[in-house]
Amino acid sequence: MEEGNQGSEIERLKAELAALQQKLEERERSEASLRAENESLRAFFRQLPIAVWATDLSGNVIMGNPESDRLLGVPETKPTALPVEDWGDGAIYLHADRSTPYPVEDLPHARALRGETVRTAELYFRNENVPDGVWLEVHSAPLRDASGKQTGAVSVFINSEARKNFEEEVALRNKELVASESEKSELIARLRMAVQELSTPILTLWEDVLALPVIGVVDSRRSAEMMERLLDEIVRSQSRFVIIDLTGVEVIDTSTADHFMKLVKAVGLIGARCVLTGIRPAVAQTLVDLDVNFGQLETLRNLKHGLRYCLRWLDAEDTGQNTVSEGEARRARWS
Amino acid sequence: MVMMMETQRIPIVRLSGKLIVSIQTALSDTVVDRLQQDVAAACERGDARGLVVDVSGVDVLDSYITRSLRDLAVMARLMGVETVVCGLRPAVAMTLVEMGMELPGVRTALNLDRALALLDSLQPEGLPNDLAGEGDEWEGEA
Repeated sequence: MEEGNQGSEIERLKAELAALQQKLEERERSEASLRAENESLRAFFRQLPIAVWATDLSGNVIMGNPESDRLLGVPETKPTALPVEDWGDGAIYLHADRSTPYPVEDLPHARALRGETVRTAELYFRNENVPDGVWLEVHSAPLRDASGKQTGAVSVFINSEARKNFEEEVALRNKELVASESEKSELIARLRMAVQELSTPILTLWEDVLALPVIGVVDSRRSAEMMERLLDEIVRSQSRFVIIDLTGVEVIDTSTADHFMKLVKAVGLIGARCVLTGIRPAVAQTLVDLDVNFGQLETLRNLKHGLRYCLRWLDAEDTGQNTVSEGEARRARWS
Repeated sequence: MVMMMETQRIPIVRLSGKLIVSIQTALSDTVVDRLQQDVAAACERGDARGLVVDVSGVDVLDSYITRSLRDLAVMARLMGVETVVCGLRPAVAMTLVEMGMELPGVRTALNLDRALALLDSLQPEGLPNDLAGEGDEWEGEA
């Protein structure tokens, strides 16, 4: 009976052992696969082409890949274990303008250690191992465990040297372009002024008679300029007559015709008189087609006739030999 | 009466049968209305043959004042007094033209001198040249 009991006990233990062995094998297998996974993750981390760097809350480096060592100039012999406050020793951090110092406590990683997530911070970094300095684009984030408690911070550093250089070059180009552009517009303004001066000369043809030869196309800007200068000149010289010579105007449209009408009216308002001369056949044709009312204007064939007309009137006015009929004629014409 | 005293008045100068109004201040609506009344009263006395309004001191003419000036001129002409506006500034002239107010029916002259000469050349309707000088007498008899 006892033997039988013992035999069954042994059987039970054997089975238990077998189960345990199987469990152990399973554990070993899973451990091996975990290790392999860990290895591959580590290899992946080490071979990342960007610099990744994680520290605990006091600033000790938990993990850092070779790229980060290379980029930040961390010596292989001395593992970095500096508290945050000492990061400023032996290293220079500058803002993107390359002159404002970056306070250590404002560094992206330091901010991440305080629980802040920083995206795309730009800074310039230099220490004894990186004497030429390097442009870094930094992204930092706090590290938390499963319960949400912060255990450290992780930062990603990207060398932005090439981009920075490119940006600087673009900015420089832009500046040059703006400079040349403003230079050009200045030149254009100066040329336009010169052309305006040249295009509307006001000539003193005779005592009390001004002449305004118009050449080319008259737009609203030019006509306003013309009116201003002509009126000023009339008031300055106190001339009684203006001959507007249109020999140089090949084409005319309604707006141009309107400009001339306004010019004539304004001249009339300040007390001088306008005579239009030299209207070209094409212009006359257009004016008739457009049905422009030049009715109250004195229009004469050419400058010679215009001047003769003015002189006759001036003569009549100066000698006071206005006959009633002449006065009547003028009243009919000018009122 | 107090109101009238307060209103600024533009003087009307009488010179050899012509009335000369020289406006050398900024015009307000009340001043222009007052001027219109004064000119009408001066014309009514019957010895004026011409009126000159010198606006060389006016920087800005708004539409109301422009119209009032035109009305003044037309009114004076209806009462037998020819009106000449003189000394309009270029900037004012340009503004008037741009706004489409061209003082229709009003004669203009460059300055006071020319305005007086222009008035001299305008004879009363149907009156021979040699009688013009005796206009005052003729008018007085009538």
